[in-house]
Amino acid sequence: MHRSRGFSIVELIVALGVLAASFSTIYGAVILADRSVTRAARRTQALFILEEAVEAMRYRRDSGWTANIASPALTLSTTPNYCLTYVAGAYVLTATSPCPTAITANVKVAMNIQDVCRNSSTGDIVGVTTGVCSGSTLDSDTKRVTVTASWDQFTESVDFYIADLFGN
Amino acid sequence: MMKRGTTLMELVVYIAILTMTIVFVAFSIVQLSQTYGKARSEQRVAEAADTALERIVRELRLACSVTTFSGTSITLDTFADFSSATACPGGTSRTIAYASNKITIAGADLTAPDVTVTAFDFDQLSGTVSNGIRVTMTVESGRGKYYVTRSYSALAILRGSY
Repeated sequence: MHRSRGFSIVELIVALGVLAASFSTIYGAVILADRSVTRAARRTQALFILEEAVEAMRYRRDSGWTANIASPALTLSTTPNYCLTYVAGAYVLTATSPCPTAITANVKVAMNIQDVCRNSSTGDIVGVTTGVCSGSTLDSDTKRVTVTASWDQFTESVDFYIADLFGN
Repeated sequence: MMKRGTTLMELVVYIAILTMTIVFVAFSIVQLSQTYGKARSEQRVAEAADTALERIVRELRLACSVTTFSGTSITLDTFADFSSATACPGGTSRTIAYASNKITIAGADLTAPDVTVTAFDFDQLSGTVSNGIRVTMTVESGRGKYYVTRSYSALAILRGSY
């Protein structure tokens, strides 16, 4: 009788321990799920802004290659050296870093531009540079743009080429 | 005598443990349902914004010019569809508008009734070579602890405007 009662308390403690362990695991999973959902939502916001930045660079090209894209309008760099913001009906590039204000939703957009090196005979793009092309030809009518969006503790970037389509 | 005393002590301990367990379980369940509710709101907002913005950007890119423009309503001169040989300019007229907390395209609702569009704005960018439209919108869903609001922006250059 006495032995049996003692055993039931041990059982209870074990059961309680199992319950606590499983619930804290579930609780941990819930916290993780909560965080993931918020992260996914923030990411969706940021990716729209990244897409917007790509389109903004296209518009900038359309508005005048010499004035907006080509050197010396933009300084070449291998790392983000311009911030993109939307102010009073226009996209503005500021040369300050870190980026002062976000486009929307606290997402910061930075970018950098590099020269393109082409194979002298085939014309294929063989690399990018901020200086001179060695063993290839520098194409002054094409640039490689890298747009970087950063939000919370995350960063995502997109590389693309733009060309002086309109000779302006 | 001694046996009864032990039983009473045990009972107190049991009740204490049971109470703690119930509180713990109840707290977990509340937390779980709150997370679920919040996730559902987040999902609704993201889905609504994703659908609306993707569609609007596609419509804008397809267009060649803006016929009428205001901050909350835009009428485009656009191609009838991708396969059609309809000329543009002089193509189909399509209106995207924001009114009563929802977005409509050609009269049909673009956002689901489970979300509220609290802010929507078109901005026009007019260049020498191309024209662009910038869209900003704020979508919200849920209330109280499940309330979620998010702002989105997109830019589309009218491909027909080149």
